[in-house]
Amino acid sequence: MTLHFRVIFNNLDFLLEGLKMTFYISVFSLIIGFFIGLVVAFMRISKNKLFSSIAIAYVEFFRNTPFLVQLFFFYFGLPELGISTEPVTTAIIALGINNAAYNSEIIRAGIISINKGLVEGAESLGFTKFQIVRLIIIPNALRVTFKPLGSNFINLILTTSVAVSITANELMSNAMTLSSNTFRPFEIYLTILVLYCVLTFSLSGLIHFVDRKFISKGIS
Amino acid sequence: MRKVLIVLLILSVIFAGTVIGADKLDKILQDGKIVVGIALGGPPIGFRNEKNEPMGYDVDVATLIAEALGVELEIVEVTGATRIPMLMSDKIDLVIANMTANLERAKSVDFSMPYLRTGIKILVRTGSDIESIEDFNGRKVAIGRGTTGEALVKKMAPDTEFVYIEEFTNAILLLRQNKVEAAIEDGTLVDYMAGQYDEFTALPKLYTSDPIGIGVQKGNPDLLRWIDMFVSQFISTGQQAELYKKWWGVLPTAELAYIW
Repeated sequence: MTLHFRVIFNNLDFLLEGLKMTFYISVFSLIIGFFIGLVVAFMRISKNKLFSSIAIAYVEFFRNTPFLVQLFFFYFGLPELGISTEPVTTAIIALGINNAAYNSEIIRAGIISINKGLVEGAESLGFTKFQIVRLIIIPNALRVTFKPLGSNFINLILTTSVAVSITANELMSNAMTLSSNTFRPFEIYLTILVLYCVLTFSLSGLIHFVDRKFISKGIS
Repeated sequence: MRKVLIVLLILSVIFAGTVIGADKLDKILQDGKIVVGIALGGPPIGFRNEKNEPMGYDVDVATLIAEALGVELEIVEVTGATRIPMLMSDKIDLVIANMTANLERAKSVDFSMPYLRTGIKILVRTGSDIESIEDFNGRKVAIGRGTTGEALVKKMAPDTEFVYIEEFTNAILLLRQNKVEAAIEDGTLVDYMAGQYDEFTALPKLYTSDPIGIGVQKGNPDLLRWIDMFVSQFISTGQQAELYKKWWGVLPTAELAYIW
């Protein structure tokens, strides 16, 4: 077996274009996933029965069904009801909604772990409910959950490759196109494995850096 | 030293599979089994019926080959993107997957003589204003990766928005949901779909005249020779015309050549 890495150099632009799309999908679904996760976490611990049951149903549904099926449902199923979205938009929404279910459980654990004394102290100082949530609960919950959330985000980046199945032209898709035109699957898939590593390693590096510099500082 | 040995060991494991042994024909006869890669994404060439069994023209050809060899047939589903890599990595013995025999592919695989002839055609929604490939520019078109259609569109309408599909049945779905304006595929598939559904129309123009061949891994001259002889007799005995009529309802438009 001879390796021809010239295929990669000749088509680097094409692969990087895919990498850019993968990055774009990752960033937007990450943001959506985080904020929906935050809202769902608060709904889940809310005393309102309706809110908490909606949150439980949401989390259990999206965590107990395969992501590929969810994606196909959004892309091929919903248009039958007249709700039609572009492949990239669909991928972002589906990934965000799916990731939110996992994020919310982590954030919920973070909120529960907060010392009651902190909240009571804030109450006695005359903080309003909204101020307590914004200034005490969210920062402290995120401090505890920062790293587990980070590993969720890495998982999210890796899962973006599934978007190829609904015709989004991201990194995996461009690699498949190149592979079927040049018949060099070994070189091409090896290269994009490295490119995915670049994405995830830079994210985990960033998470470590932020964690050491700002979050775990002072906490041993 | 130990590190070097470990690296060598890993390399030898990786490359062990690529050592070329005897001709595939011997292996097939010895095992009593032939593994054929067939695309099951588009009737009538290859698809699954209600019982999930593989059906179609390519399946029938594979069955006839296994019968003539006197071995058992194992069908492995492939797509346009996986058929050549799977053949090259020894996952399958033959590719009978509506594969156009062209010079580019022939650098990587060996082709038998054509067992079918077809050309690229365009499928649009009935009433569409698309009349030719040139009208694709700036619009979304469903195309299979690495297909003859892809190469054609890249050359004739480079500003097309490529929507890559794994199977032609997905093109039907995308057309119906207005996610693409047209689909481009072999005339055999396009004509069949236009015949099945009134909402689709096949444009009359045939863009190419493509020989469809059976793919064999390079370095297996005995197997290739046997397959060639099979195809030749498949045509000369009238079996080919019969099979074509079974699936398309008409006699083949293009005549196929035979040697034996």
